[in-house]
Amino acid sequence: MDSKGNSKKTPEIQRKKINRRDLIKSLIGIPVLGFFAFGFSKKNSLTRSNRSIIDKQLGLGGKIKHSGISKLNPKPGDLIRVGLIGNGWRGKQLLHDLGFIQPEKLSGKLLDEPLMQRLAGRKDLNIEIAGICDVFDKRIVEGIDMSKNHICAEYGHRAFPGARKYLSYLDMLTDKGIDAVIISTPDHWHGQMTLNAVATGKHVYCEKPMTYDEHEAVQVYEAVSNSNIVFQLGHQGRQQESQIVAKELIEQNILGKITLIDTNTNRNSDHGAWNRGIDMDGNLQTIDWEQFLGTAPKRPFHPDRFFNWQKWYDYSTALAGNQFSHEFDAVNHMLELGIPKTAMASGGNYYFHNDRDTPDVFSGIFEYPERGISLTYSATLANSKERGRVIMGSDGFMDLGLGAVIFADKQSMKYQELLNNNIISQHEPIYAFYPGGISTDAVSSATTSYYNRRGVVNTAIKGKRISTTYLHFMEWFDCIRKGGQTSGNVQTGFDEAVTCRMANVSYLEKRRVEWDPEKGKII
Amino acid sequence: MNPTYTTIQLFGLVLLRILTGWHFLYEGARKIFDPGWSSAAFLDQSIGPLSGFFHALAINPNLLKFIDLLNMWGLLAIGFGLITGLFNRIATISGMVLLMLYILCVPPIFGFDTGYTGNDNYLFVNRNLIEMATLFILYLFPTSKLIGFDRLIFKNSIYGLQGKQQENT
Repeated sequence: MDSKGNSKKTPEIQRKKINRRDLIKSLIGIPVLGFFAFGFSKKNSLTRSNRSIIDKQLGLGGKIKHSGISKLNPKPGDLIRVGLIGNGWRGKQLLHDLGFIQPEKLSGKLLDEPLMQRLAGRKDLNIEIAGICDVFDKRIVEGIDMSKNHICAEYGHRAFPGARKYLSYLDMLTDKGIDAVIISTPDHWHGQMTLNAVATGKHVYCEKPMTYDEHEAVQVYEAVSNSNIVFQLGHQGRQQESQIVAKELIEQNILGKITLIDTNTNRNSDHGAWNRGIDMDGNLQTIDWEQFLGTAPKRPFHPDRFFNWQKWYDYSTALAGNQFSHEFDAVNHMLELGIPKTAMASGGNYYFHNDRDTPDVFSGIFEYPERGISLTYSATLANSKERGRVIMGSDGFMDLGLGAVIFADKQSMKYQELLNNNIISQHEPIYAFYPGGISTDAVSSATTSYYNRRGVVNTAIKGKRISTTYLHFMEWFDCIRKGGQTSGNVQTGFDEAVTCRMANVSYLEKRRVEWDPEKGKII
Repeated sequence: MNPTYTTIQLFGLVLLRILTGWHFLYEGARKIFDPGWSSAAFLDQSIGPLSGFFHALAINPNLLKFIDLLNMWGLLAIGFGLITGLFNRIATISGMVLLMLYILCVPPIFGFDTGYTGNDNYLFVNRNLIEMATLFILYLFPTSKLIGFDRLIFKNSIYGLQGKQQENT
């Protein structure tokens, strides 16, 4: 039928006949597919069988026990009113991790920033930033602005009335409207502020190191232990999935007898070397210099010392307390080594010849004769080569950063048979764990990128990227609401503060030092 | 009109098609059978002018899941198509688009250090680019209507018949 409805004789459709030749030429790919399927399944089955042999040998039973998914849900409870003491570079990062952001980030194109996407994926911790204390006026204003804007996955943006302003941290501590405080000040204030906070019954989240020296460490340990407050030391690396998995693997003796642990820091940027610039608004009218100094030696106002305090031992625990502390805490988390018997450190100011008295090249050796383990650390602030954190055992070694990767040692007795039968190779990992979805976004600084690669900034649970600091805070709030032990408890802080101090004393006094646990002294 | 090749030319082109298909099929199957595989790591290491776009993809969980599925099953389908000679026009074009995205994610351009990403860079050229050129050749010199499923499908396809009808009227 044509369009007018007239019947028309349809021409004969001449279908081409499919002959045998066509069939053969058409289906030539089928045997190739069959061969592929056979080979692929054989390879897969060999891999599975080898994996099962390796897991059996490793004692893993096919998988490890840990799953961090439970960590993604904060425990319900009353609103916690938090006071922030110190709103400098780290203070602002902590506010970001809690979901409080600068008002300008709420408008326009900035909404698309990775920062916003990261924050939007988080659940509400049900907290309020009720107070901001800083010795620099400008930072108080910035902190109050940030405290007004909170974003999270459940309700998007939420406006808060804004934090109260405190010129003295002691005023904040005596305010009944504050339940808990975050201490992110220069190192020389950590111990004193924690002691004051404990005395007024405030829960404490303290940035590392816990204290400047061992005397304060002993006082803080006793004060916190005899109180009901919840203490969390800011070593958020304890929330890193690969670190938690590595701890389980080590506990299963996969590496054999561990004798040497090699840790390091390599950074090569002004920011990483604590040349972080000077805010021209900072002067004696806007900065409470006397309060900043505290118990540090009295000096005339010095902007560089205020804004880049990490460069001077008067306020800073230097590379030992700021960088080695991350490495030490990770190792202490996995192996529960505690304080070493002896420490020996050396180094110097070899690259940055500007005004500073802390070293930019630093090495330390820490001995644990009872455990038969030596811990080494070396650092430079003038080279950024990745060196990894390596735990060496008689049967293999583990490289721990963002992931935990284990290689067998070619001379291992435990893995000799597997090595001989080519089921494992010394060049291929026998176990590798990488929490998926981790990346450094384009807006991160070189320093943040460094920390991220070390597994300090982000982790991933079930492929979902999440800030370790956020998880660390969540754990602190959970313990405040429901009780329990924080992973950065005062014992871990005590171990860390004393060990870092031993390194500094050894460096400054150019001698090997020992820890006397009976007297609680470095000798 | 189907192209005409000498026997040895046809053999060479079909061999190239099957080997390229094998690579795609393997890459797809490997990802499908690896429960921990995600494109996030590859997207994360993006460098060059479009790195911001690829990084943004990596941190969006829903988008990432879609990209993962597209990669796994896309590679498998392209590989299947090339080996069996099924819908080769679609397979070669899709393969080129996919490879172009890989290249843009980590471009082998002078000035961008791809060393640390684990991707190859032979000064503007890498394996993805060579494979893309291979697919272009396979697109320009199709063989599936001679050797492959397309021979059956297009032998009596509606298009072919329509052409025949028009000739007859």
